[in-house]
Amino acid sequence: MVVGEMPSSVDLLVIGGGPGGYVAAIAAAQLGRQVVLVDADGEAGLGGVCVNVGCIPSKALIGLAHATHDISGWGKRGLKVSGQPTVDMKEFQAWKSEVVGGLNGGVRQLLKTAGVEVRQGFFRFTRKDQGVLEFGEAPPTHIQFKNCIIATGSRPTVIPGLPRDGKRILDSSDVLALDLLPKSIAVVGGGYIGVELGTALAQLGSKVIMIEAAERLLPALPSTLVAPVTRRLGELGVDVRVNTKVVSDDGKSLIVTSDGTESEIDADYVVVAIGRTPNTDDIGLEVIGIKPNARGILEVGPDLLVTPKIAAIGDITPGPALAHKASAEAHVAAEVLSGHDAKFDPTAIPAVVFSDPEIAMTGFTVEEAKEAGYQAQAAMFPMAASGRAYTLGEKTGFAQLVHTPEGVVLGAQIVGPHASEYIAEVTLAIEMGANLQDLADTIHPHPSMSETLPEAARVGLGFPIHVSPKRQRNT
Amino acid sequence: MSNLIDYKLADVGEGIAEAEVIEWLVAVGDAVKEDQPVVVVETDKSQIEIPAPVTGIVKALGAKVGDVLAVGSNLMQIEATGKVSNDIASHGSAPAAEAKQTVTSVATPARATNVRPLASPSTRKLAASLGISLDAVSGSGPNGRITAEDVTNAKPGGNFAAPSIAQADGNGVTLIQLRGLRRQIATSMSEALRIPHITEFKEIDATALMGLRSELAPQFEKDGIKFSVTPLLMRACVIALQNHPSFNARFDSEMGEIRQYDDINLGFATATEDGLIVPVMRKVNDFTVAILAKQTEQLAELAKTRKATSDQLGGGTFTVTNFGSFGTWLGTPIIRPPEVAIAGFGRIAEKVIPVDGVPAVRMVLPIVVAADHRINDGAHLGAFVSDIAKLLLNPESLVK
Repeated sequence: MVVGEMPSSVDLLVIGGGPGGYVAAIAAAQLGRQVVLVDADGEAGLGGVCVNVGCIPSKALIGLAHATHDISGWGKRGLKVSGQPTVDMKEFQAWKSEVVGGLNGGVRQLLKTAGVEVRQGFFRFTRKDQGVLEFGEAPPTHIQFKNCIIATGSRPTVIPGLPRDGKRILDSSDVLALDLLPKSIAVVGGGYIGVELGTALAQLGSKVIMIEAAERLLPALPSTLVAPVTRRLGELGVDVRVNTKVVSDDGKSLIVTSDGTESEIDADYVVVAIGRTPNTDDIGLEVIGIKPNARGILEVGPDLLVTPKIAAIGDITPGPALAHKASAEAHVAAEVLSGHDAKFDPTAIPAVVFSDPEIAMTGFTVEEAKEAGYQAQAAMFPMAASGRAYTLGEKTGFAQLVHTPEGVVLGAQIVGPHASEYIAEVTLAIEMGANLQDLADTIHPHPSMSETLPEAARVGLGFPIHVSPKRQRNT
Repeated sequence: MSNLIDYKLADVGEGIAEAEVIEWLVAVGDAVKEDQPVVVVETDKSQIEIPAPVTGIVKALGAKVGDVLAVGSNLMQIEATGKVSNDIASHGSAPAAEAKQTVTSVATPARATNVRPLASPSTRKLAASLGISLDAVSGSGPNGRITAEDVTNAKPGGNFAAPSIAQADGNGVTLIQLRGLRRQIATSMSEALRIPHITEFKEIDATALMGLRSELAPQFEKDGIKFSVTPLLMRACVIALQNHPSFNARFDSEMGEIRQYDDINLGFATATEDGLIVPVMRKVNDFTVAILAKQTEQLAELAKTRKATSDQLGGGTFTVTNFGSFGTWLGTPIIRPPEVAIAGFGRIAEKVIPVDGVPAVRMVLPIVVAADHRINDGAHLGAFVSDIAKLLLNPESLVK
């Protein structure tokens, strides 16, 4: 050991203050551990990408976009607004900062109450039980830990040839921080982040061009769920270019290629939203003897351990890169490292796309269930038959339950208003091993979107009330 | 892309760190199909056939028969010719095949279309905290859902932590509240009372059997195994069961269904300080008496020290019990539901019996088999007992 390298001793170290890291820190503190959390952005980084530059700001923007767009819809239902509604993005940013600041402050307070110490700096392993924390010009400090939870998250994936400059070429976080509304913007990547941003900006009045390399938007989702969203994007005037790849950008136009033909797309801004890259490449993992796979993911088992003393959670482990999955893993990692036998073993992880209409999924699709060895079938209830959807002016979409011949619920796919708010009911049903009869016989409030679930369950049971009985699907 | 896959020995079960290679079922150059058994390994719990992870050609074997491999070490190298899942291709590590490398347990009927055991998150957490695999627990809830109670009951060795509580009242009466194992035994024996038992007895001349035991014992003792006559008796039952599958079964009286099993999972009654425990050896059909002896000794020790896992205590299809060790002549064994039969062996002792028409003093072994009369009749049972007797009278067939 070199002089000046005298490490401070930490019982349990958490690297990263996102929805994985801060939850792990509090959970570990509740288990009696002395916890230090390090984050490159210090207290300002608490809540991670999610709170500060991801889920939360994007939902704020989508809220504004929906309200703006709804005015035109309600215009045919009695709402009269004099003149064209306008959007003040500066004021929006001020409000968004309040929202983000409030949540970030809340996490600070929660950590403080739990007795978790937060230190600012970029952490890198230097030994199996040690690492260095570097922050700006300050002399690096060394930390020795008994246990460590790696929760470093992910960052936007960069396209070579289209590097972010923060001015014209943006990443998703930059877009959410814009204090003016782009006249035109090209969204590169038709995954859920691209679709959410593209929809919101189009509803706010931007000219949006969406570019996706695959043959359709949201290629990872079943096409039946995506069709209503693609149709809606068309109605919003979004120019959707599928089977299209980005070649380069000349500062004014984006050069793309489709079927071997190059063309130019004029847009004031370009946002690259092609996915996220795990932050596992620059934290000295080789020192602790572990190597991420080709996609940068740390292959962990249900105990989430990468070594007997170190666990990994969140976007850097297998599974969907979603905040709620990271938080769920956080509890398990804290318990496992504190000597409890625990497993990350969910039956279903829900996922939501805040598109228009919203898409929400949990558990298996029919195809996935069959692949997993179940005799699965689906029961579908259309939004067109939902009274609540009608009053919201929305007739597109459906709620679909995937189930076994005995009726055990294996999954659900919902497209329609507020889908994100009630997908959790099906997740609970799956986790509890509930069957169609359980859902059908649970009284749901009327009128509500959640009623579509017992209705779909009755379709599966063969005795639906509000649709004809022939809606069972085997594919 | 090269499709060479380093196939590693996966974690074959709870707490097992290594496994011995018993037999290679393939050689270098052989074509193998995905899921085709390629090697038999033996852990301290059981013998396991490990299947190929992909379809392909065997390029190298990572160990010789008799080698002891640590979990994670290279088992073999396969050049994949079929489709390779990313998981296996990118890491060549075992986890992808982990699920396949498990001891097949007796299937739970309610789970036929539920690939993942149905259990709520709190029940899963409980199982994890107790180190219990839900795959080994049968669910009592709707659609075979596993309840917290099912998990507690499947706890390795049950609630052994809680001994029966005795309290003297000062008036010469001691009140004992049944807890843990004792209560479980009480429950299962009451359950067994609902089975209409039919029991048949036979005495056989054990001269040849004892001779064989004396002949084999030195070899076993060289390997550090105490060799009693028990593994020979077990082997006789195993061979006889293969000719009488109606005794290697489980009966669900509520459903009115009998399940006969190809695999014999043999339980053997073991007396412990807290009460009777029945460890179960799995898939013993082709076990030699040497393997039976070794596993019996190991499992009995785990049972006595309460270290047997739920996997090692459940899933039996037939049970043997030994009355001889108590010094009594013989007893009437009680069937362990949902099994349908149990064999008991008494004390081998000198007795005067007619040999070629003249009285002679011989070593005599009393045997008994009890069967569920709902499933088997006296004629079936008689034939089964006679088969066991025949095998024991000509014991060379037991070590062939």
